[in-house]
Parts: sequence; C-alpha cells; structure tokens
Amino acid sequence: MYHNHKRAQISSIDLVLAIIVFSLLFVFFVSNWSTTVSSAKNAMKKNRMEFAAISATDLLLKSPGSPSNWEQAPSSVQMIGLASTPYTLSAAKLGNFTAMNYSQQKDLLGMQEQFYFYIDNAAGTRLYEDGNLTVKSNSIVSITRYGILNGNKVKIGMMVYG
Amino acid sequence: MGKSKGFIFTLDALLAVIVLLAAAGTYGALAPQLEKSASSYLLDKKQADDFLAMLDRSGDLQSQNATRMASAINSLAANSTAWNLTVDYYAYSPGGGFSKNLTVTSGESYSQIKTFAVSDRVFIAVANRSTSKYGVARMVIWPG
Repeated sequence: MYHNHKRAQISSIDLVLAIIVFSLLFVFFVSNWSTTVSSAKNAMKKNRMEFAAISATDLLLKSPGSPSNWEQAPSSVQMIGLASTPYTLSAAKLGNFTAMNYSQQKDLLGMQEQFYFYIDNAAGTRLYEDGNLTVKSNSIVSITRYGILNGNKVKIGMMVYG
Repeated sequence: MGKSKGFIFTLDALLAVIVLLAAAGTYGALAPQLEKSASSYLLDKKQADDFLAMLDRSGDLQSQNATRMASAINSLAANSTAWNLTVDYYAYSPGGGFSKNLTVTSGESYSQIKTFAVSDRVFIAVANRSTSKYGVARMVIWPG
C-alpha cells in the first residue's frame, strides 16, 4: 500500500514536469507564430519584388523590344527593350521610354508594384531617371545592373516598392 | 506491475520532450532562413554577367591589362561587392589548335569564400578583320 502511494507520487511529478515543459514550449511556439508568419510574408513579398526588378532590368538591358525599331514609332511598341545590342543601350529608345507615361511604362515592364528607374555614369552623374518616387513604403528593393550607353559604362538602377 | 507503469510514464514523457525539442530545434534552424533573400545569388550572377559583357563590349577584356579591367569594374561596382576576374588568352593555329599563352587575374582571392556567384564568357579580339585573340573570362562575385 505504502509502495503504491509512492509510485503514484513519482508518476504525478513526472506528469507535472512533462506538462510544464510542454506548456513552456507551447507558449514559445504560440508567441512566435505571428512573428514567424509575418516574417515569411515579408520575405515572400521582398523576393517577388526582387525578381520583378531583375526581370525588368533584364528586359531593358538585353532586349531591343518589339518591333526592334519601336523607337521610330513609339506608339507601336508591343514589348519594351532599350538595347541596340545586348548590354548596349540605345539613347533613342531610352529617350522614348522615359517620355512615356508611368502607367504605360508599368504595363510594358509587367510591374504590379511601383518603380523608379535611373541611369548613372561612372562618375555618379544621373543621366536619366523616371518612374514614381513619391510613394512612401517600408518595402523597398533596389538593384543595380551594368551596361554601356553612348560608348560609356553606366549603372542601371531599379527600385521597386509596394 | 508498479515498476512497469512507472517505466511507461517516464518513457512517454521522455519521448514527448524529445519530439518537442526536435520541433523547437527545427523551428530555430529554419526561422532565420526566412530572413534570407532567395534572389541575392541570382542578382550576383546577373551582375557578373553584366560586368563581363560590358568589359567585352568596351574592349577591356581584349586589352590584356589587369589594371584597366579592375579600374573599369571598381568605377561602377558597389563597395559591398567583392569580386575576382580571371581571363585566359589563347592563340590558335590551324595545325595545332588552341594553346593558352596568358592568364590575367585581378580582384580579391575567394579561396576562403564559401558562397559566390560565377559567370563565364568566351570572347574574341578582332584585328585587321580577322580574329587575333581568343579568350575565356571568369568572374566571381560575392558579398564583400
């Protein structure tokens, strides 16, 4: 009888300890769940914007667009591209692209988010800029690509935010 | 009988704790991964492609001048970008095929770097309307 009581007591302590450990871990998971979900959502959004920026700059830097001489009749453009040859930007295409309105630029780049685009020379002088930089957002992705414009090496920057 | 019950309870609690600790460990290991950018490697690769194409178009690769190539890259690359460039030059003879006659290297060593992006580019140099040099350039980029 005495032995039975002692055994039951040990089992209870064991159970209580297990419940305490389980409860601590459970509270830890629950308290971190919302933070984790929020981080995952932000990471997914950031990745989507980075891929959008990379795709858009790929298009601008490597493709002449369609038709390839669209700069002669800008209203005929079906697919945007600023390159005369891959990595060599055409000043005429660039001028026509920056003259378009923002919503047309967004459509041609396939952008769902807002964007701001610029070209700097090696000295850091801004040669071209366009897009929308007025929206304030905590989610901003900025990437830089490299190419040639008028025989000079340039930086092509793309900021995407939303 | 009593000992047997106690043993089962202890094993049960131990298993529960092991499972929970495994779950907590998995969570702790995976949670920081959410903060990492999946596209940073892709962007490094794209930038390495850009640099090699730009150096090819501008004639810097064909110059065989490591200082000129390094200067061109450093004038544009962000301070947070570390890089290494290796260019092998080949001569071609109709009977003997290709033979490497020069290797030019510039930038930083990446022997201790575990994660980096690599881009390769094959190029030619033309002189007097014929190919004078053949080359293979390899650029390695990593976060500095």
